[in-house]
Amino acid sequence: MKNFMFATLGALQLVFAQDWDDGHARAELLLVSENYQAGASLQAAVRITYEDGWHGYWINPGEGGMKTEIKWNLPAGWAAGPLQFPTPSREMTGELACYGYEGEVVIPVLLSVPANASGDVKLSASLSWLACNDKGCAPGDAIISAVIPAGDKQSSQHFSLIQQSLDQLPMANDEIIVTVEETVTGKIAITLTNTGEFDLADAQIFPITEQALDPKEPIKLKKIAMGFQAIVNKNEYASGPLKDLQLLVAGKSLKRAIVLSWRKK
Amino acid sequence: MITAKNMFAAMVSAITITVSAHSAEVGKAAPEFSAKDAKGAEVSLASLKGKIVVLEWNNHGCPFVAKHYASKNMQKLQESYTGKGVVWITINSSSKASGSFVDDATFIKMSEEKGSKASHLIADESGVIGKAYGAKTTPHMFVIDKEGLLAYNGAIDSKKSTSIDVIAGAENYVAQALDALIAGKPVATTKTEPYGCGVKY
Repeated sequence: MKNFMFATLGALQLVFAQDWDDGHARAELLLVSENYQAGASLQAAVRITYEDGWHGYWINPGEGGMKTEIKWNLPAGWAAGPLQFPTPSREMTGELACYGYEGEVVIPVLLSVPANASGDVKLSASLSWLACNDKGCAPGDAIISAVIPAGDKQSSQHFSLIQQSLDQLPMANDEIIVTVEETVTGKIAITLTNTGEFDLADAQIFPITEQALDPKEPIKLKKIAMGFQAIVNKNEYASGPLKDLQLLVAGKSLKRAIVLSWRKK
Repeated sequence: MITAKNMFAAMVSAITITVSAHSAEVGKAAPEFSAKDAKGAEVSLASLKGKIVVLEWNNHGCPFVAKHYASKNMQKLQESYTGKGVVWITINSSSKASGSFVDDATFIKMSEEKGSKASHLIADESGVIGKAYGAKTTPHMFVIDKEGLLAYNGAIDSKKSTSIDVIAGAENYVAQALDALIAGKPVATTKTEPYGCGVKY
């Protein structure tokens, strides 16, 4: 059953539509400001709240899961960038290891506003996700939308929530040198050198590249003389030798997760 | 943990279902099994030699399975290929503890309601067939050639989604494998990552 809830914020007439579905989650479109400026960008975010005990999925869902997908329905000239997924956690769906989120996840997305935009506009998207717990999975979908007037970009009530998520988004690092070698036993050795100030001992690797590394065990980095290393089982569905690999590295000693890329020379 | 109940379940399954110790590797002999199907008929892989066999892991409570049944995609595959002499076995490896378990009568009823055209239904409650094949998800599909060699292990198709809309544009790996085997040609895609809900062992 669809249940729409509208919240009108005083005279600003900012309207958020909430759509509950049977996907054990709720999704909303949040905006950083109460108004938009023509020709500028507008920071938005998709907030998904999963029911207790249920989890949804990251860009690499791991085994069995499914990516959250969005299809925008924006006024002419408006455009949306990609969803910027925060650092996931490792979840288990029964015996399947996957990467995703429990509770609330705030996923920033940057909108661009055309120079000729004017008046109240309705921003809308259809979001589809999969939520799973130990016993089962349920797909969910929702139309998320917001109506926003032109104006002086006054901060909304969600400003700090979205800013906090933006501040914690994984950041690309091209200074750390990544070496990836396949051992004779079929394992993958990931070695990080030139790590500078980063203490990556016990930091966890989340493979962004799908079907490259085996998700069955958590992938932890260990200190070695030249830097940090993880020896990982290759994903059983990897076809041929790895050609490229993108990794997210997160850990307690890192203020912000880092994204590392490797390409076979 | 071994409880009296588990022990009993293990003993019962040992009587009704036997499985060889092979693991499921494409190009090698598919793990042998023999079991009673939901209607009480004896099914063994050895007795099906000379026929192409499809194993379909199933749980009607899973939205990925629901996608392929609500769209009739699975039933059409079953009908089309059993019409060409393929033996199609639908297996549910949900344990009693999982909440997704179906007994024989319920399995038959659910399958009939959905218009399943499978040749056999097997309630693999102990999970021995599922584990022998390494069945991970529902659906997870296996195709065995006439010699009893595993020819395909993986997803039903190329679109990891619960949406019915994407079926038409998906590459159906099972149909591709079956068409190749029927034509006496090599199977092009032999292993893919299965997608779906986890098998509820």
